[in-house]
Amino acid sequence: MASKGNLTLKSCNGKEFIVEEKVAVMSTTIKNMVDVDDSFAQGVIPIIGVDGKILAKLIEYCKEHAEADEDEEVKSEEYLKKFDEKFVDELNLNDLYDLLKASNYLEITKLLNLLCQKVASMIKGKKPEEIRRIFNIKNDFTPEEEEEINRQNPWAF
Amino acid sequence: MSEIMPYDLIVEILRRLPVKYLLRCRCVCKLWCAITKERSFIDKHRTSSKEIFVYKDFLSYLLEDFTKEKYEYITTKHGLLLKKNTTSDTYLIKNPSTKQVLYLPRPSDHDWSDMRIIYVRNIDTYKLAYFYPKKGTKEFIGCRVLTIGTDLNWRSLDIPSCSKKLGIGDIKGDIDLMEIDNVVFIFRHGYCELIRIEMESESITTVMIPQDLFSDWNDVRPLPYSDDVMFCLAKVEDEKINVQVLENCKKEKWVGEKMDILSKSMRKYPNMMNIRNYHLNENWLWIYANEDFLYAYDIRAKRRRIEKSELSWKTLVYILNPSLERNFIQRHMGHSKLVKIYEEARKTRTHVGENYLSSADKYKLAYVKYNQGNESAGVCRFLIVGTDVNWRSIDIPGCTKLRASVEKRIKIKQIGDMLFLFQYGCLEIVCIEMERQCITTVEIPHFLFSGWEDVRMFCWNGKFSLARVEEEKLNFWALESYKEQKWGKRKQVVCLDILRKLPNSAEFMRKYPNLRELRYHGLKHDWFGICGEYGDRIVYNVR
Repeated sequence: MASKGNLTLKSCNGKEFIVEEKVAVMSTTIKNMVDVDDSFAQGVIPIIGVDGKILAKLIEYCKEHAEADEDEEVKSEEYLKKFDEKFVDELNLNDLYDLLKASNYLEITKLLNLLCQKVASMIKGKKPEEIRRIFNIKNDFTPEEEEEINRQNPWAF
Repeated sequence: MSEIMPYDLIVEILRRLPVKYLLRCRCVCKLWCAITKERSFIDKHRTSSKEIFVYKDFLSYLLEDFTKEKYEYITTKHGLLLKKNTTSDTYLIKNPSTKQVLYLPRPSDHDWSDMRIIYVRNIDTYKLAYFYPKKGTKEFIGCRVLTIGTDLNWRSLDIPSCSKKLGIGDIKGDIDLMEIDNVVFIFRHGYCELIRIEMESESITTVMIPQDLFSDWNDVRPLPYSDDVMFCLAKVEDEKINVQVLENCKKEKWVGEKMDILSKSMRKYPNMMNIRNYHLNENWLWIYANEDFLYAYDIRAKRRRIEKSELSWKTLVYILNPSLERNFIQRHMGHSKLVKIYEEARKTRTHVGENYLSSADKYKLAYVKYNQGNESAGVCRFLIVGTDVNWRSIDIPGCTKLRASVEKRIKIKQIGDMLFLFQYGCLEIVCIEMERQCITTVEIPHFLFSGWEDVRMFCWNGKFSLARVEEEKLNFWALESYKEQKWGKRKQVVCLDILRKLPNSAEFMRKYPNLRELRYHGLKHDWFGICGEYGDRIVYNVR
């Protein structure tokens, strides 16, 4: 049982994390749950589809940002920017993807923006086949169809 | 990333990319391609993007580009730019993000005109409205309309003339046009009747303006109000903009309000106290004061964006957001005569090449006319869409290196800016550069293939290549450089063997026991595609 002002989050593989409420409500989804139903604030909030490793990452991110929102002097904008950079740089592709999905589901807008920007920058300047490889996308065009798209905007390639 | 990404995440990621990379992303897969063509995505991308195109030029509205042709910028909409080539007197719409250009039919000449691009959301279509003064008068205006991308001709709309005056003495005859959503308002200074053109149905109604809206009707101007959804008349009075909003067109109900957006900044900049002029372009309010101060106010974001204290008269006016607006395909537009020529060229079964001349911002058409059974290949004709009325011809030299058996069939392939002519039975390839309109002949070394039947051409990684199936293998040679007449090394694809091993190839192979009967095969990057006569298709990854 979490003490007052704290919430307990439980990952899909059973790991429990006790976090401050201000950290947890960075997620709009959790905020709505707590606002609507008091029992969530007392008990354990299950985070469906997010495992312990990813949930720990999410909490790490939210902690930094929640503290910064509270006290701008301790954690300046510059500090946060550096933290964000380091945070995304250390992620491998699978974690990045899992985090993306989790932050989308939990509606952590700031983190979602950061991760989407990261993925977008990975796409920039890459050839279609490289993009497919990164995202494990199957090419469902025939060579003729692909050539036709190339032909429409040859300068972009 | 092992799983398939959810749809909304793909949208979130893609909308952060510049147009150039989005066009490239269309090649990734069908879903990505479809997303980037969706209306909701296009809107989202345009309004949230950080890319901005700024168009130079100010009072003169004239700009000389490096082709020595003069352009006049007319209007913008959703990242599209309408401009007039004043050298050739043609109108064109350009999307600077996708570099697409659409030439428009000429609306006829008038000493004064105004044009508006209107987006009709209900039918997801862009229309263009052209306004001009009716003969002999200043107050009566005519209007022509055209649906962008489909119409070849303008339609005339009948605009009622005005009769009731506001009773303010002299009428200068100025006319202001204002577009609000899919409606164009025509405000004729000094007259009570406001004309309202609804662009979806192209129907016209008249709204009466009450005399007592303003005590003094001088310098009253129309403005869009409240996120561009309502029409209002405005006038600067006592450091504020006094606006009269047309709340309901049918009931002709007007509501007055004072907008305070100016007073603060005017106090900060004393030289702005005397506002000379203001106008609206999309959601930008441009304010000019004392002829040497310009500032732009973003109505939607409610903040000032651009300030310029020392205004040189050659600075920016237009700010364009990047736009993914759909492809305007050139051949559907242009002068009707050109379309006819184009159709004729297609009918004669000669190849029509199309090339976008990026340096001149134009499209060029080329077609090759050749004589069957004649040694001379014929002529290649060029035409710049929208400017040229006649074709320019260049003779294609006759073939000098003939093999013993000549089939006298010419095949043409376009790769980028180049047209390649390959005459079966001829040991030469004619290379036509569309941009420079020059012709080079490249010799085909006789040792490329052991025989010359069924030699085909295609594009290998952007290069012209010749290929033939020999000993169960597809052999092909790429033309590395046509200027140096340099052929690359022979490449081989073990095609027959592979085809036999493919799981679904049994039926295919039964139909075509010998690959030579296959009508078409193409190579693109690592992909080797083969088409049978009945549209059967096998695609194989070479690697």
